Amino acid sequence: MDIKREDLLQLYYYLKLTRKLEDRFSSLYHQGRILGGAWTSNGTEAISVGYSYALEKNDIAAPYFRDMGCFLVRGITPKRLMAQYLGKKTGVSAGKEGNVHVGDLNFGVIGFPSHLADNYAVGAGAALAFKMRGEKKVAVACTGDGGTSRGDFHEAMNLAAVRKLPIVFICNNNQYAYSTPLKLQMAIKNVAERALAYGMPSRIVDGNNVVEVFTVARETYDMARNGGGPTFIECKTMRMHGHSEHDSAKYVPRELLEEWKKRDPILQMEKYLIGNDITTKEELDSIDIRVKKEVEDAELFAEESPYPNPEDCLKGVYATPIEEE
Amino acid sequence: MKEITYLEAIKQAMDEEMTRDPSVFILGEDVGIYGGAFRATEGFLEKYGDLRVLDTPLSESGFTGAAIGAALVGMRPIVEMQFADFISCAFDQLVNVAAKNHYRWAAATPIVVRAPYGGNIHGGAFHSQCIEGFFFKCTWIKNRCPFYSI
Ligand SMILES: Cc1ncc(C[n+]2csc(CCOP(=O)(O)OP(=O)(O)O)c2C)c(N)n1
Ligand SMILES: [Mg+2]
Repeated sequence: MDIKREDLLQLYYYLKLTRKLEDRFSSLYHQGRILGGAWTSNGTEAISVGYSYALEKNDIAAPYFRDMGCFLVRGITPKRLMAQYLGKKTGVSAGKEGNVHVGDLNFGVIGFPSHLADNYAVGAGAALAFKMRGEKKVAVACTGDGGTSRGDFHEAMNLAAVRKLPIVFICNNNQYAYSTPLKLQMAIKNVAERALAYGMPSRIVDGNNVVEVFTVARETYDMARNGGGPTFIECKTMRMHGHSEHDSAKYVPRELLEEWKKRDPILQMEKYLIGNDITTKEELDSIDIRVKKEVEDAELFAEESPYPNPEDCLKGVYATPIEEE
Repeated sequence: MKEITYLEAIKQAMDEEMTRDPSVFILGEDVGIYGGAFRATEGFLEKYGDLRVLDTPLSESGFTGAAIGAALVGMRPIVEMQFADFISCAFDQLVNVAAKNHYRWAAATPIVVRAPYGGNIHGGAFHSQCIEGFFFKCTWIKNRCPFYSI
């Protein structure tokens, strides 16, 4: 497989950055310093890191709330994300929204609306625009296994397939939707079977293997970019934290977690990089030090940042019409 | 000034805008081949092609979401609800996504949703509701309801 060494190291770096930043969100949540809730992608970081790293600069992503890796890979800084979590003016939403419910079109990231699978339809619309304008760009949209039971999932998949839109749909199948296990969500074995009904090709990948997610994402983006239409990618993984940091997830069998712990995406990537002589333990350590420093700097930045002014909450309800700008 | 019907006025406005601005396009059920249930887009398919006059699958939430996504990357979609009543199926995309994008993360979402009702068609409970009231609470969406003009 032809992935450059520097790209492999970048994938490792983003896995680590995502993990460390979210670990910090989690600690801050338990200290009562976060405004609102805190969701993490712990154990499933390879999905958002992999699919985002495979994008080209002008492509667009419509993520969901377990896609911190998408924000980071696309270039939204840990500083702005930390400030976002602390409700500061320097945060991605300037204090208007909490945690992951944001986006930034300057980085090709469509904001995540809480209502799951809505972004499948929104992402399809971006792809539709690319197709209308004859641009060689792709969109990617992501949701959880739970989100695939919603109408918007199906409406978007159908529209994209009928119109052969340049979009790749990703599903983070972490086996649970909050407390509801897969078997109470759907009567099929693989989420990917849903794609069949729309005449859409699908792939099933190890969601804990960032190289595999990246490779398959890149292949399917290439296909979409060249007029081959959409693909659905099911990434099998396991949610290792509670639904959100308030949730101890007692309903998840401990053995299942033990099992998946051995398949941790960062562990796997370390083994891959060192086992194949791509890098050394020392080089990975130096990346870890860089990540630690970035997260510390982000927190410092966020703490020193001001809160929005109370009157700011009344601003921005409407966009400024072009002729008034 | 020449007196024209609402329908003619809407049709003319859309036609002018589509000619003036290539980013304007129409999507919805039966807007293309058939020219719209109320004939508001008659002749548009021939004039503007099937990517700018897009017959969608029957899926109000899906195509409203798609209009939002297209608007976010620079297009100016006009969504046609076949009958105003069916806007209920797209309620979520309108009030939670389109309406809040700008406030939440500074992304303007310039979509126009047409929701025709009335017309003296004896539509009953599912084809004649005045739906604007549902959206009054949602100040983030601009409600426009022309009912008499000369
Ligand atoms: C339409 C909708 N209904 C309910 C919720 C509340 N909710 C948030 S996350 C969640 C479970 C999501 O499960 P899944 O899609 O598998 O994603 P995961 O959390 O496992 O990543 C629920 C029910 C929501 N966000 N959106
Ligand atoms: Mg899930």
